[in-house]
Amino acid sequence: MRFDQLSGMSDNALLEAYANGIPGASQILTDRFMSKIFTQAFHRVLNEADADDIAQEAMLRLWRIAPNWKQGNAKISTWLYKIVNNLCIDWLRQKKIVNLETVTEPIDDRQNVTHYLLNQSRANALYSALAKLPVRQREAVSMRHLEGISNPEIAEKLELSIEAVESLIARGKRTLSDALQSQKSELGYQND
Amino acid sequence: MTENKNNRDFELEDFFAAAKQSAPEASKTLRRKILYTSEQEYQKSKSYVSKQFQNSWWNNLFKEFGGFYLIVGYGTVATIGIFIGLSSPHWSNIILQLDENITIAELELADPFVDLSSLYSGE
Repeated sequence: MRFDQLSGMSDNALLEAYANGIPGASQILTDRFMSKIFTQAFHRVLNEADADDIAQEAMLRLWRIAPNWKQGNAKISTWLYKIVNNLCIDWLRQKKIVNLETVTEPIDDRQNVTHYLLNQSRANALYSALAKLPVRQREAVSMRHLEGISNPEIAEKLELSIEAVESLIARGKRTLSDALQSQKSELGYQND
Repeated sequence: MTENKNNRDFELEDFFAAAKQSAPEASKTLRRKILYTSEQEYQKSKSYVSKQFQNSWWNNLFKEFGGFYLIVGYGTVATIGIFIGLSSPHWSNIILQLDENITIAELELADPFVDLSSLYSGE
């Protein structure tokens, strides 16, 4: 089967193709999901190496379930999202503390150094405040504001009502805002 | 109050934007690792299927009868036998006809002591 033919296939069909040994199916699935699950994991665990491990483990579970995957099962994206979430929760239970020294600082030539450093400080301050939020609030805020997922989708993924999700996000943002207030001047904001 | 809240929300948006910009991207190494595990898992699932075949009851039955080729041999012989039985070809009728012509009355039973008896009788 040609690569461009595979590209047009649905996620479920690709997984079936992978289970049947069709070359290229796993590459397309990897390209479709790797970035999403890595970002999701990173925003939960705030550590690139661990996000790497979690993404790899989630994909490994997908490969393992492939021979028994049924077309009627949940969407692969939803299934993977839950797997990553559970892996992150396990990781957080084990680690408890997030070490912000391990947060990666990518170098971006397009930005000037001051802007880059300011951005980085703000990001680290946010990660630090996020790490102190209760798990559900952190999930909801990260999904909404870092991963750009809509409230109804978050409600579906977290198995909550939309109102509950809105409430989680509102509370989370309030706590974040309070936590960041004390650092305003250090983070490039004028004090009122 | 409202202005203060809006201001804080705006600042929070700044933080989210900064976090999104500074978040690392999935590396090529991760991609390679994932593809490597996909290949490994596929190979494992294939060997699992062949092991399942090796352990299946009908595979054991094959072994009991001497393997796949012997089973095929038995099957062929049985099929031919059934075919002969059902179609009754010409040459099998000849055998049946021969069988019908031989009766017990026609059989001459040879006496193994015939020569000895003539010797002792003094003839």
